[in-house]
This record gives sequence, C-alpha cells and structure tokens, in this order.
Amino acid sequence: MTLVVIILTWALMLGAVIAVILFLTSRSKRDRGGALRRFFRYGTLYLLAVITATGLSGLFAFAGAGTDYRAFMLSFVIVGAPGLALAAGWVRRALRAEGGGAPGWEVYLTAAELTGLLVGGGGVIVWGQRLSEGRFDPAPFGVALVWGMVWLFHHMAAARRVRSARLEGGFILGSLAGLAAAAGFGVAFLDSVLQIVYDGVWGVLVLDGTGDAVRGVWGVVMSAGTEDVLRESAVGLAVSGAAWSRYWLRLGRSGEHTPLWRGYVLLAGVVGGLVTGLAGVWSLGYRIFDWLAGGPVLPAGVHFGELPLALALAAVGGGLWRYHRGVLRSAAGAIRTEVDRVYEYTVSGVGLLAAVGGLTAAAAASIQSFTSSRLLYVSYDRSGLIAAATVLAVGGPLWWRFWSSIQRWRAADPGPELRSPNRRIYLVCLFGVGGLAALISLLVLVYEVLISALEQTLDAWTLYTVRWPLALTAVVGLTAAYHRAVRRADLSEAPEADPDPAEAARKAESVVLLCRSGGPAARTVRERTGAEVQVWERPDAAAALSPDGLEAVIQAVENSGHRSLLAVARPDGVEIIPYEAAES
Amino acid sequence: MAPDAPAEGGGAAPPPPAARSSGNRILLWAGAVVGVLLAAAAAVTYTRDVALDPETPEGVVQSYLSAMIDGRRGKARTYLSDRLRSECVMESSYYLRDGSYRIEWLGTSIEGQTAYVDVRVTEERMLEPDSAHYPLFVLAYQEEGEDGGSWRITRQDWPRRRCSEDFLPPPDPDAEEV
Repeated sequence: MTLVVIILTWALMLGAVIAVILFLTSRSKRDRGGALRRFFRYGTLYLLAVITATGLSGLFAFAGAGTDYRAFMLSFVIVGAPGLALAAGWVRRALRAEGGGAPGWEVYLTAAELTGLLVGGGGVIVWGQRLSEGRFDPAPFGVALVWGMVWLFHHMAAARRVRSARLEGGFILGSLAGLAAAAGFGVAFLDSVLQIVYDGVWGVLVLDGTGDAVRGVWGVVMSAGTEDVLRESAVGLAVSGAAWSRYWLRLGRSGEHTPLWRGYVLLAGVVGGLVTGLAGVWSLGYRIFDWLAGGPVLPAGVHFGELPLALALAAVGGGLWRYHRGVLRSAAGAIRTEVDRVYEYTVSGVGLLAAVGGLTAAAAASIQSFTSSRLLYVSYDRSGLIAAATVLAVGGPLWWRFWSSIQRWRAADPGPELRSPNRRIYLVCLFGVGGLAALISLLVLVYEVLISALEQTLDAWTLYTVRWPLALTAVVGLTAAYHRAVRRADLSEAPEADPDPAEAARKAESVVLLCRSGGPAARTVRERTGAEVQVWERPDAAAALSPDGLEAVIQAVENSGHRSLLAVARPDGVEIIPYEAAES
Repeated sequence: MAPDAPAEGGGAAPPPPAARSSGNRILLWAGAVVGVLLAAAAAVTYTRDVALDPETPEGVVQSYLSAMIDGRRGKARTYLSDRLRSECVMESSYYLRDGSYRIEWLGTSIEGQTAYVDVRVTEERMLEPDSAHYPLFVLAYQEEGEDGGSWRITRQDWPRRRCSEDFLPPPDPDAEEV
C-alpha cells in the first residue's frame, strides 16, 4: 500500500512538471517536444548522479552498518553508475549536436553544483567537527569526498562556460547558502567566545563529573557544551566562509546586477543583517533596562546570561549590514539613483516594522496596566513595558532617520522621487497590507467584544483580553492611514507628464550590449540613463568596450530617437544599430 | 537638486530639512499620544501597590502564589495548613516560572473559621489566545498561641491541586492514639 502511494505521488509530481512545461512552451511558442526531451534528458542525468553519489558515499559507512543499509547502497551503485555513464554519453552527444548551448544543460549544471555544494559542504563540516573531537568518522568523510567531487566537477564545467544569467543565478544561490551558513556559524562561534569571557568575568567555575575544572582550548576553563559549540562552529564557519568567498567574492559580486543579484544583496545582506543586528541590539537593551528598571527575579549572572548571544547577533548582523550597504553604495555613484532609493526604502521598511511591533506591544502593555485593579500577581508587568519600549527605541530611530531623509529628498526635488517605482511600491504596500492587517484585527476585536456582550460579561477583563487586537488595529490602522495620506499628497503633486516630452522621445528605452565582460558597462549605462540594458557576451579578446565606446553608447541612448538599440563593440570603437522588435 | 557628498545611507547626501508638512504634523501628534500613553502606563505600573494585607485570606493566597511562581517552595510551604505542610510533597515548579500569568482576586467569602477565595488566572501564551481559569482556594483559620492565629491554605485548585487536604488519605486514628 505504501509503495502504491509513493508511486502515485511521484507520478502526480511528474505529471505536474510536464503540465507546467507544456503550458510554458505553449505560451512562448517554443518547441514543445524539444523542451520535454531536454527535461527528461537532464532530469534523468541529475537523478542518476544523485543516486550514484548517494550509493558511493554510503559505501564509506559500511563498517557496522546493517544488511539492509549495505544492500540499499550497493543497489544504488550497481544500478546508478552504469545508468549515469549511459546518460552522460547521451547528454554529450546531444550537447555536441546542439553546439553546447542548451539552456537545459545550464539548469542541470546549476542544480547539480548546488546539490553538491550543500550536501558536500554539510559532509565536510560534520567530518571536520568529528576530526576536531579527535576521531575519524568515515561516514561524513564519504559524503564530503563523493559530493565534494560532484560539486567540483559541475563547478568546473560551469566555470568553463561563458557566464550566462542561469549560471550567475547559481552563483548567487551558492552565495546565499554560504552567507546563511557563515552567519549562523559566525553567531554561534562569537557567542561561545564571549560566553567564555562572560563566565571568566563572573567567575563561573565549571566542574566535570569528578569535581575537576573543565579545561578546553588553550587551557581556558569552559563548560563541555561551550567547548563543543566553539569547536563545531569554528569548523562550520571556516567551511561556509570559504564557500561564500568563492561564490560571492570571486564570482557573484562582479556579475551582472540582475534582479536576483539585487534581491540577494538587499534581502539576504541588508535586510537579513539588519534584522539580526536589531535583534541583538534589542536583546542587549532589554536586558540592561530590565535590570535597571524592570522586575528581574533572577540573579545578575543568570539575568545577563544571554548577553554574549546578543552581542554576537549585533556584531554579525551589523557587519553584514555594513558590508552589503557598501556593495550597494559602490554600485551607485554620487548621484541619487534607484539603487539608493531601494536601499533607503528597504531599511526604512525594516525600521517601521520594528517600530510598529514596539508600538503595538507598548499599547497592549498600556491597556494591561490600566485594567489591573485587583491583581494578586502579574508576570512581566514592568518587564513587558520595558520590552515594548526597547523595541520601539530600536526600530523608531532607524525608521525616522531613513524616512525623514527620503521625505527631505521629496521636498527638495519632488520629480524623481514622485516618479520612483520604489516609492510607489513602498507606500502602496504599507497602505494596502497595513489596511488589510488592521481590518483583520478589527474583525477579531469585534468578535471578542460581541462574545462578551452576548454572554453579558463585558467588563475590564474583556478590555484586557482584546488588548492585542485593539492595539494592532489602532497602530497598524494609523500607520496605513499615514502612508495613504502621503500617497495622496504624492498623487496630487505628481507631474502630469514627463518633464520634457521631446527629450523622452529621443531617449532609447532598451539597449543590448554585445561585448566582452559587459557587466560593469551595463551597470553604468543603466544608472546614467535609466534604460533597460541586456548584455550578450562576446568571448573574443578584441570585443571589450573602451571608455570612449561606453560614452558613445550613453550618448546614443540619450539622443538616438529610437526605442531599442544594439551596441556592438569593435576594436576601433562601437557600432550602434537601432532595431525594432518584430510583431509575430 | 543633487548634492554630491556621499551619505551614510545611500550614494548621495539628503538635502537640508524642509518646512514641516501636514504628514509630519500627524506623526508628531501620534508620537505625542504614544508618549503620553506610555508615560501614564509606566506611572500606573511603577506606582501601583499590589501587595494585599498578609493577614487576610486573599493576602495569604497572594503570598503563596508569588512564592510558588518565583520558585521559593520553602516560603510557599509556610502558607499551607499544618497537615499539608507535613504530608504534601511540593514538587519542582520550574514550569510555573517559565509561564506568563495574570492573577486577579475576584472575591472572598468567610464562613466562621473558613474562607473561600476566588481568583482568575489568565495564562498568556505566545500567538495563542489567553486562557483563563477560576481556581478556588479554601483557607482555615489556625490559632497560634496568644498572638492570635493566621489563615492557612487547606485546598487549592491551582497550581498544586493535589496538595489539598481533600486529596490526602483520611487521618490514621491509631496514629492519634499513639
């Protein structure tokens, strides 16, 4: 029965994938049969590579394994390896026939490389951790070796190809995996180091089972748990840091600034770093203010026990934020561009979310304090108020700093700011999502009040039980209303038409750069003209775009009088060819 | 206008502050309201004296619950009747300390040497609606020498329901003879 369910599930998933392929090819008028053939070709190759690598890595854990495990892994190798050889031959012939430019091959390379990176990287980390404990574990060694080879093979195959959007997408995903792991291990490592210092400052003496003090790295007194985390996180940080360096510093950072690239820098780097750092700063502030003015019930050593973690979060998050802010700033120039705007609106949004959370918690805590007439006991009475005020104190200034800067730009030079799509998205999202959240909170609030009214139990306790929906409705509703007012003001002042229609008519909307390593040139053209820029790589050495050629492209985009341009880099300059997309 | 000095946040420095807009006025008012609300809440929270008279039944219940939730089991035991004190096993109450409670006194009725204290316990859980229950505490007045006596708990519905005289085995008559 279980087998039937598994087969049916797989059949359904396969059917869904085929349906998606057919739907997409029907919309793009591409060759349906070819797309399905490529899907099965590269899908089979990927599946067989995974099966073979799993079987081979499993062979390293044969010692002490049961019969079932051995038979399972051996069957993977016996069936997978010959199948992989046959499928590889099939793919090689197909690639030769297609001239090596099949998009399915690049998708396969990216998927196999990332799978190798994640599984192999995990194997290296676990193996390294075991080694640091002084024992050689063959199971993670096998995973590290086999999947590491899978990664290396596909990484080198990808590196030999001309960089394309698909391959660069793989670099960004590899960077994301490396960054997330490095940040997590970095926090754990720093937390352990600071924990040792903290224990030393407080004079904590850690004893083992025999009553002797535990001595870890370099004879420093530490608990067994801290020593394990320190060792394991150091190994994890080294491996994931190396992966991130390879994928981001060597490959991803210099790549084309695609939406995925910007998404990585903004969401993973800026927002991820900011949220992590704010969590650390909040925790730090809360611990201190709760000790000074709250109602701490535990001794200082225990109360401040999370101080090392808070400092680690603040340091790692702040570092990530600063670094990625620098990446964005170096991509922009002295002139305020959409890159600056998207950064400022993003940071402002993160600060606003924190401030709204703090305000809501503060309002709920206020309602709680006003409805407490005959209390026998209340947990976190003062601490709750301090926690809310600390969140507000962390998020509020951040939001105000960036939002007031944005509003100053809007007041001083309204045209570009009012035309900015990022501003429109920011305001509409806050107004729309905020309004929806306020509506849902209001629904809950009315429901709770009606229940009490119908049961004739409407009293101060009812107000206490609805404190959260009441606070949320008020704060989120106010936030939505404020941003709606800003949006209305924007609409009333928005320029009715472009400032100079003649200039707009002269300006090209899109340009294709046909040159070698055109990423930086494309960024410059995009930032200076606002045109949509696409790069087609020419691998020949004579096809680089010179600085004069770049200026010529910018001039052509500004004054061509055509909507679309093709700029072809030549040894003696650049040739500009206007073109129109043919109606089909 | 596009000043060219790099700013902290982006690629260019923001211009100097503009005249105060109507949106900013709304924000100022909202900020002022929030500030007043927070100040009033802080004033109420910090000036409120929640300690009841420890000689009253509700005062005893308050002291007992505070000691239990804060993990002071030895202190909590002093508020129990002599029989509960000697026969009831007080287990660890770490789970109580991890929770978030709001306990309100609803009323006390006294019949002779017995007092009944009604309370409402609201347990706050993250992302869950508050759940309230209404435990009853029964206290007996125990004479203690010439100074009078004190109220002692003989029955509790929460947090140690089984630490009530109702749950103890009936007293052994032989033991009394001895």
